[in-house]
Amino acid sequence: MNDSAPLTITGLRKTYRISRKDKIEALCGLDLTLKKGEIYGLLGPNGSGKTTVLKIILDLIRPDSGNASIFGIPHTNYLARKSVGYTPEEAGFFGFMKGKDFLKICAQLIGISKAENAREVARVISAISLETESERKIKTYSKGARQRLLIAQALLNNPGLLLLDEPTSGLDPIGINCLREILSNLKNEGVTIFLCSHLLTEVEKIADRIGILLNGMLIEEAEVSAITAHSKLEDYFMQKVGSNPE
Amino acid sequence: MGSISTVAKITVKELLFRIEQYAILGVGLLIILPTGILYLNDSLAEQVLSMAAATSPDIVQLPRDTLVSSMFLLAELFITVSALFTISMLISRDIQQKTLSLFLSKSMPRWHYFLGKYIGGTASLCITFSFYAVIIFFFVLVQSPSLLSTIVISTLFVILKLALLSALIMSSTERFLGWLGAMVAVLYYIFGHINIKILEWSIIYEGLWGDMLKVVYYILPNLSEVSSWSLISAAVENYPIHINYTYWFAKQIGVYTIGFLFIGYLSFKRKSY
Repeated sequence: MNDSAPLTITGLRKTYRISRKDKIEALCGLDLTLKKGEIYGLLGPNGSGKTTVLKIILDLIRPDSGNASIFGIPHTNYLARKSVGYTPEEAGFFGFMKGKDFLKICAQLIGISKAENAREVARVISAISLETESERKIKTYSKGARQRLLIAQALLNNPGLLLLDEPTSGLDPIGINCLREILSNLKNEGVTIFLCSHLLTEVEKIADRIGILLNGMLIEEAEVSAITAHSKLEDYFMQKVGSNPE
Repeated sequence: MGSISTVAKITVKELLFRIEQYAILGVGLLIILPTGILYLNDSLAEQVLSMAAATSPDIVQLPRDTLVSSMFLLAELFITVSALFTISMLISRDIQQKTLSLFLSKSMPRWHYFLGKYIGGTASLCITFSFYAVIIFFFVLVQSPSLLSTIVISTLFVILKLALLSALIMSSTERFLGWLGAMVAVLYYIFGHINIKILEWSIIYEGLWGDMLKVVYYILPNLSEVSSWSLISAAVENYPIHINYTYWFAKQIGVYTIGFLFIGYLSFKRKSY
């Protein structure tokens, strides 16, 4: 990791073809820069382009134009992902594996040596409080335990930038509380967190800054403290989204 | 490079844990085992052969070696059908299960994932085939140990063919749907049969035509049963030309397998997931 911004996005455009004639503009020239150690919440209604942004950062989707860089390294270079942890909204698991084995495999995939593998896996298991479940097969996990396992695999490489796509989706209040604590600890360790969500109350509690994405455009960017000094984030969001109808 | 072996290991584990794999193994055994028992039991074999001769007078005597060859061909057939299903679904299953984004979001180049999947898929097929081969090996060991080296060579050739077939399916599954990729492989398999015909014609026609056909035979990839036990022995014993198996090996693996994989990777590399 260097002194460059954790994430810089410039002029990102992406169009999806839905039929031979019709296209949908998912992103229309998105510009975004994240500061080191902040929690940035990217908000927006369903289909606003949040997941597309994350997938482009991870080079899972190719943009039509524009660039993204992670700590100064172009996002298309796989080495840029060395400092990135990613938790998808929904992910499949190899149900026949134990949670611990899944994490070991994830550690091997990112090149953690055999000597360090067990130690790193134990570290993330402890950080996510997954000690009991890690010895069980993944197919027996609850939704909350699966979500925590996803976060655990994202923390294996000690990421400087953590990308979370709807991390609270399907979690019960205890799970949400636990996640909030984990994210707060990571922030204190200097990890930059980029969070995509439509659960405004949660974002209000943990994010430092928010951006509102609507129809592929970043219509608003503001400090959460500045917003909550006057109103609730939810009211602010509804006001901004409502004044920009589709 | 560690990530390639990790992806391969997960793929093998995942495939060997699937019930379909055991179903294929079971059905294959249901056919191979009775053939093997027939091969071992002299009176039973004679009885079946005399019954066959009674039904069709043309069959006066069925050489015992044909039974070994049949077992081998059946095993090969099963593994080929299995390859069509297994390899064509390798990546699309990861897309369906939503495990692909987890793999590709890691700090490894895409080709590591692609190659790991290929190696894992092919390895799982080879493990299944080796299981059949070991059973056939034991039958042959009891009855005619002199054939053992031929069985070992034939097994190696089938493994080579599986490597080529898997690469061929991988080359098309990303461009088309999984089943279409399998269809392309089936067509190619038929093409393999034409290839063996080319070998036969090259023997029949002498002079320039024969030489040209030999060149065509050596250049084209071969998925036909030339790798099977019966045809190897037939080729070695009866064919007037010597088949250069070292060349065949280099051609199949060195050129076509790598070539097909490269074509498959080019489309995989560009795709959004």
